[in-house]
Amino acid sequence: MRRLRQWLIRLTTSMTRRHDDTRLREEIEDHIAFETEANLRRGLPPDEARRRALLTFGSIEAFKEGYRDQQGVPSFEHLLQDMRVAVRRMWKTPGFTATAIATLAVGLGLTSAVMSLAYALFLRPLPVDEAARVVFVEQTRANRPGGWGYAHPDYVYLREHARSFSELAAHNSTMPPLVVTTPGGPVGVSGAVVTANYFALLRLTPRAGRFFSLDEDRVPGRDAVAILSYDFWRTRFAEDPQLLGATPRISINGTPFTVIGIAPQNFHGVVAGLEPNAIWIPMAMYGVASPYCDAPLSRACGGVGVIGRLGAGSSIEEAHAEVAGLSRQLKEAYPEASLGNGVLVRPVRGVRMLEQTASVPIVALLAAAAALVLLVASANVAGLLLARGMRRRKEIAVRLAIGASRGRLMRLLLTESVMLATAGSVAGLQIAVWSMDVLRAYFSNLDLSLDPRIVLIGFGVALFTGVATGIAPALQSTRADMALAMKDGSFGAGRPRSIVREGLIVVQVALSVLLLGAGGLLVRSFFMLHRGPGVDPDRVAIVRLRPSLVGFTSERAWAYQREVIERLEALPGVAAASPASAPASWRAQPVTPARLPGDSSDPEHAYRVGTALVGPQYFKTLGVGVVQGREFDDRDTVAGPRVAVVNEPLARHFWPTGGAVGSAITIGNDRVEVVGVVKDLQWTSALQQPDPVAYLNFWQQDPSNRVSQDSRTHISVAGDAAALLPEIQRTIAAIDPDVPISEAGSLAARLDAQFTDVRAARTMLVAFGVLALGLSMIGLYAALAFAVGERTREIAIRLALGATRADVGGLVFRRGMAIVLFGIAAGVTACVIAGPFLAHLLYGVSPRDPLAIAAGPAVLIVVAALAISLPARRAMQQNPIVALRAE
Amino acid sequence: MKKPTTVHQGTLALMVLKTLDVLGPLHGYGLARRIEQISGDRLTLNTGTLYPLLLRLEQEGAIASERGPSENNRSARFYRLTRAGRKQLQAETRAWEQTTAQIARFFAVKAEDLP
Repeated sequence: MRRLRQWLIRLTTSMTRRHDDTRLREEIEDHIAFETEANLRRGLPPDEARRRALLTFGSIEAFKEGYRDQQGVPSFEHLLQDMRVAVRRMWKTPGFTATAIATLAVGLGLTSAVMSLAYALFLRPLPVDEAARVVFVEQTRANRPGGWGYAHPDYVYLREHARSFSELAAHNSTMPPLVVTTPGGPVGVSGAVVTANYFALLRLTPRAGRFFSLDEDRVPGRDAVAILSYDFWRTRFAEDPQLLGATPRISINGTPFTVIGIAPQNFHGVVAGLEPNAIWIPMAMYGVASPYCDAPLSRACGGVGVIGRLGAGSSIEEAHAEVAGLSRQLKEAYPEASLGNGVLVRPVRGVRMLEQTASVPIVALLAAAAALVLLVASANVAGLLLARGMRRRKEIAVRLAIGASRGRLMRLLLTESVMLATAGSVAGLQIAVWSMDVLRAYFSNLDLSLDPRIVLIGFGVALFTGVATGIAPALQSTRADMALAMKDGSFGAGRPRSIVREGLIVVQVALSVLLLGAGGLLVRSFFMLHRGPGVDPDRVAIVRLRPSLVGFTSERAWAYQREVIERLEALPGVAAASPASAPASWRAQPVTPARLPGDSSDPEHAYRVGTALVGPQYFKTLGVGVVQGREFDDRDTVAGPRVAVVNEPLARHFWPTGGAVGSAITIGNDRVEVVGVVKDLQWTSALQQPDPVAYLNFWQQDPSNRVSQDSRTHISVAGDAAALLPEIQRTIAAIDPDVPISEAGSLAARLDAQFTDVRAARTMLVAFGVLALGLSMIGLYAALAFAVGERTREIAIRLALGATRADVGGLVFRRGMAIVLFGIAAGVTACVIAGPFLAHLLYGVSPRDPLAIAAGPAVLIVVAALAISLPARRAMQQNPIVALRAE
Repeated sequence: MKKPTTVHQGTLALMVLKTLDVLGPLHGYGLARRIEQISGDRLTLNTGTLYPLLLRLEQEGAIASERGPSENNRSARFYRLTRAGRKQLQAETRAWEQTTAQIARFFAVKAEDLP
């Protein structure tokens, strides 16, 4: 209590400080006057009397200080005082301040951005009520990553028997996209088929209209009702309230639908990461969404995603145990069904498990790179603070000599570090915002934003860095030998300290070389992607045509497809066109068994190949010739003998000594004759082997299969494919405006989209590498400039004793280059070791590609020569007489 | 040369209060001289401690001050004990006496006195 009272008194006194100061000055004057009078009475002359009085009183400043410490709230006042000193000092050394702040900002900004990306991918909860209780219920499969859905009947079984959930719903995002008619023409959007209880389970309220009723999800194909996402409603229908109602106003994949509701603004479906859901239709309308399966809700067709809301009082573990039991029952009841062998119940966080698994390498890479930059930044700041601490030894020794306590000095130095860190993290926030913009361009499907918690963590890291890098120089400074330091700063500079400083530079250079090397590899990789397997992707356009969606008969669809090719080939600037089942950039998975006729071994263990359906002139369209034989042409008809073109890996497997052309082979169930061999046409990373691929004739498919009507038509353009696209689309639309054209773009654009990870890694790593290079060069310059300043006297003596200026400059230059070369050697070694970790992103380039790895060091040496020459010049231009006299 | 004794703050406050109690109102300089005199010139007062202490005691209400003419007609600030200050002096005197008595007993103790 008493303490509190005293503290309060002190607090008020620190407010009434001015009054007390006058009062004290008055008392001091009185005291000295009395003392002087007493001295006069003792018979001293007036001058001497006053001098003695002043002498006995002692230092007036010390007096005031002692008094102040007793009066106010010292720690608080000291803090303000220290902050004032720190600000003044930061202001006086703008170069140091700017470098330190920028360095910290870069390190922190990049780390926060990458962490936000990881958060969005792995951790972010759904924007729904009690999101932590909403779980994905998935199956796992041996040796396959991620979680998988359940067949619809299995979902129904789970829903009817599971007791740990208050609700279980099924959903499936549509692949391929749904084609929806809008006032601006048909668009392909990602949608989801969902059970009627989906929105109720998530406890969402519609923004407008209503959600599905249970009855609307009862009879397959009866209730054509849809719910739109708010964004879709806003961007495509201008929030038209007339859209909602009883009459069908839109059509989905050709079927008229009635819009009954609009979802809340921030809701884009439970599966983030794919394209956000723009439209939802009842599970009973699955047939409209899936052209692949005639009875999508049967066990024969693919699965549906299952989400659940945990019931009151049940935990994830209980739910998991229950679902695992039910899955076992299902497996016993349907042994032939492809049920997984494990169960996964996990909170709906981040993106779907499969995408999460796929994102791990890229996020790990970016995180590692950001951590390296942060390391460079920290080493840089530590070096700067250390050098400055050395420069301030004299000042600190003086402070200690006139009575500053070590603790107080430490506090001052720490205040400076913390303030630097604070300024750094504020600037870092801005860098993070910019980095997020860059990342957003590559992860456009993710709703990326900086999370306040991540910003806070970043701030904590900055503070820690500031304190940690501030403490070492502070400790070193206060331990300085006062007498030595005051006499002459330059003699105290021992070798061990400069070794620490130079070691920090070596580390920075090495890390920069590592980052630049990785960046170089990815730049080469991306470049080689566009070189691809001999295809010029800028000269190939691809459009997706789906007559199956508008209900064509197979004869009409085929006539349509043939007419498209004829009209396109008549177009000026088009060299050739060919339909295909998939874009050239896709890898055909080797799943189809292939064997020579007469081979009666177990089909289970057959050699498996990828297959693709392509039309005549496909290889001409891509600009790659056949190695042997011919490609498909008009001789190959539905009625004629089945033919195939195989790639070199397949030909080598079956006919190692040649002779593939003219031989027969069985692909799946079809016996075909090989008419040609082509080079491998796959985009394979350094980790992958080219797969064997058999190309089958597009026109020899079974016409009764609805999907076979659809194509991705490849068009070879003499010039820029992107420029001719509008013309191409117009030409196709003129044939039949009802057939949806989607995914129109050049092969180059498709590659960019398909290899986003390579692109993102390339951009980020090159940026990180350049940043690290810049930081380490600033560090190098600062360290050398400091060393030159420290050796002023030594250099002056050398010059006085007859060393030429070139000798002196060479001294500094050699020292600097030695540091850089050490760093480069370490960095290149690190590159050679780390290269293979990038292999999954490297296409057409070896993980130890010398050109890519050497590019970084080459640039670095040039920049380093510049950074070194500045302090070297300063050393050369020194005037020995001035320097020696200054001592 | 005899080394001057330093004064602990708590003790100095007690001395100030006691001197003011015995001698009535005094100005700062006089107070310093008196304390040194009473101690038989064995104490050297640090003025840097005395004046802040006076200010503090006044802020705590133990003493009060006002300006007035000094013995040789200079204007000076005179300090006097307040009622609260007198109470504090009594309390601290008691506490101090108890402490010294206890310490004295300890000093007087011999091994054979203890059972």
